[in-house]
Amino acid sequence: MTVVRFEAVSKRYAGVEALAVADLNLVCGEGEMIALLGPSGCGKSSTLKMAAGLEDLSAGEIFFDDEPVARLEPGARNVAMVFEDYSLYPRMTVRENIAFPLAARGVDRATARARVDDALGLLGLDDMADRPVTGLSGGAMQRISIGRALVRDPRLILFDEPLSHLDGDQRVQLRTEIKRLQKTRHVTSILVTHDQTEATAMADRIAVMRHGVLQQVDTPAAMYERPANVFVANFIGEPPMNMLPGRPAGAGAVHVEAFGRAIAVEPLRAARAERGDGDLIVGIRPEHLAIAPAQGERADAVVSYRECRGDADSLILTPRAAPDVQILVEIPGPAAFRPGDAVAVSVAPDRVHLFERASERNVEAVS
Amino acid sequence: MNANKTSLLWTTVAVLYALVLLFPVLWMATMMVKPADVMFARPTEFLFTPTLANFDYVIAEGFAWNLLTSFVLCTVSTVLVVLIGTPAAYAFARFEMKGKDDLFLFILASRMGPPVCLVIPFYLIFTKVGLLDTFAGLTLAYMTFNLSFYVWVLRSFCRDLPVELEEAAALEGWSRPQIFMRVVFPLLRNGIVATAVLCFIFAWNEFLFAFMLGGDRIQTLPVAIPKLITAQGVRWGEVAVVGIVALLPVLAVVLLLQRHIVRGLTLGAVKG
Repeated sequence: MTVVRFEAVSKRYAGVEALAVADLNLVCGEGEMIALLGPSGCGKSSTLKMAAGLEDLSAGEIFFDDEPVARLEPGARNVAMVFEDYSLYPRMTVRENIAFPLAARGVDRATARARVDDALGLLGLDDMADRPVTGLSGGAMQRISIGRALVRDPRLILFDEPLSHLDGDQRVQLRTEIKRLQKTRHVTSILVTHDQTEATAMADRIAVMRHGVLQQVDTPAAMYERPANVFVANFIGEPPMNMLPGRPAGAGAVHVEAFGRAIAVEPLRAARAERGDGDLIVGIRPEHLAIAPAQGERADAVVSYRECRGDADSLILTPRAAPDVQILVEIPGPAAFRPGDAVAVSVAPDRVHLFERASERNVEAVS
Repeated sequence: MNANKTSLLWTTVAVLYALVLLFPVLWMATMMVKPADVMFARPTEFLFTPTLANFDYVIAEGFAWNLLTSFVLCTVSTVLVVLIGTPAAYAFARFEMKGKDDLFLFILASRMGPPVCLVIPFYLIFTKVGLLDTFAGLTLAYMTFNLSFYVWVLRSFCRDLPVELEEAAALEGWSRPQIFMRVVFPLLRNGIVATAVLCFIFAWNEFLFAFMLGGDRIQTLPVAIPKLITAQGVRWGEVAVVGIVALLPVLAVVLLLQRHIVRGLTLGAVKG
């Protein structure tokens, strides 16, 4: 099993001014699955292709267990890739597709057959082994593609948006299956996706990228709890975090303009915020806001929209102090709040995230 | 019942239409075996004693040799076009290089002007280097105009292939030539066949180059036909024989490869 290390990797495409990937440093541990997450054009696919050897590096080096591989041919790296659109060889059967990588390596027939059978069994593809791959469902095709990747015991598997062409059911099913296979086989893996649900569900750690720059690498939970900047905070979590302008208000509190008052914040964070230039963005996740019916002076906001989702209610609040701001709230449902209700808003101090307004960085991350 | 009626109607219409189109060919076929005295009889003689005299003349005049020349020339030039053009088309579709588009346009340009513009320089060069009236010379000439067409058409077939298939194969450790042979070629086969058949037909019907650059030794079928316009008049029966015989190889090629051609020309390379 392999440790994959990107060291100061940059990629510039000919004729493009901006770097597609800028000075990337990232370590993917043995048997670990790292998700490269970001919007399209953030450099995640370029990173993947450089690991595969399908793109050259403009600068830096990639190591597999301390062995530099950036100048090796794709075929010499023992890296497997699972593509978004499956990329099965259309004129071959399921079995031939899975066996194809072994033929390239000159594995003898009996061994090859055993390993292909093993992969077929692992993926529940035995029944369709001798069928042509055209006309199978997307889920089946992607399973074959995974089988083709696993069959030769690669040092690294690259998943390039493996679920984005599948629909609901198959997507969730295959998500679990990929996770299971990756853990049983203990293969170091990199997953590229723009879907934060997929990333948090499958990956051990997530690397969020934006404009070619790595924003944060952390476990899904840590990233949710402690996003490094506004971009990450917005990207992880569904629905996205409320971002409200504010300023320090001394003694463990920040003033939130939309509420027209100060709210309590974890003292350490408040203290950090004091040291900055003053202006803050106060980030509060919709699911961390609590609301209660309120009258007159105590009311912070009015409910302007309610979406009932059964187990939860999604509300949009219009603050009294800032009528052009919308605050998103998720509360356990079905709740009794209706549009027009006046409400008081509260939030636990440790659920309030503070970002410097100028740099958009989390005050905790600023040194 | 209604659907049956409709399809019967359409079938009838299609058959009638085909008959109208094929009528001249069928007429020519009857001319092959018509004796000279009823060839242009008015009213038309439908009942005549078939004769093979026309064939005797054609064989005696050495048309079999012309047929063979045509066939070998077209086959060899088409095979060479496929061998050279397929990698070229693939390279144009896949690789980046300086001035690729200019080079491509340059290749295409040889098809743009009227053939007469090309045949004169060809003639002048061929007289200098001794390629006039040689098999190699005419093959070369046919390759120039067919190669550009072939590369141009096949490049779009290559472009339609998903590059991920080749990337997957590259990661699996296949070399570029192996990927080409084992992954790309099977998907490209219909496109290759369809385009090659078109090249063969172009070469088969070609007159100008064969007339100018050929001669007594290398004389293709289309060039030989005017021999039947004699001082005594046009030998229509013999013209019919040669005409029908000239149709047969093309017909055979198309029928044999019909499956590939239809797929290649309609569905694109990947599907099916």
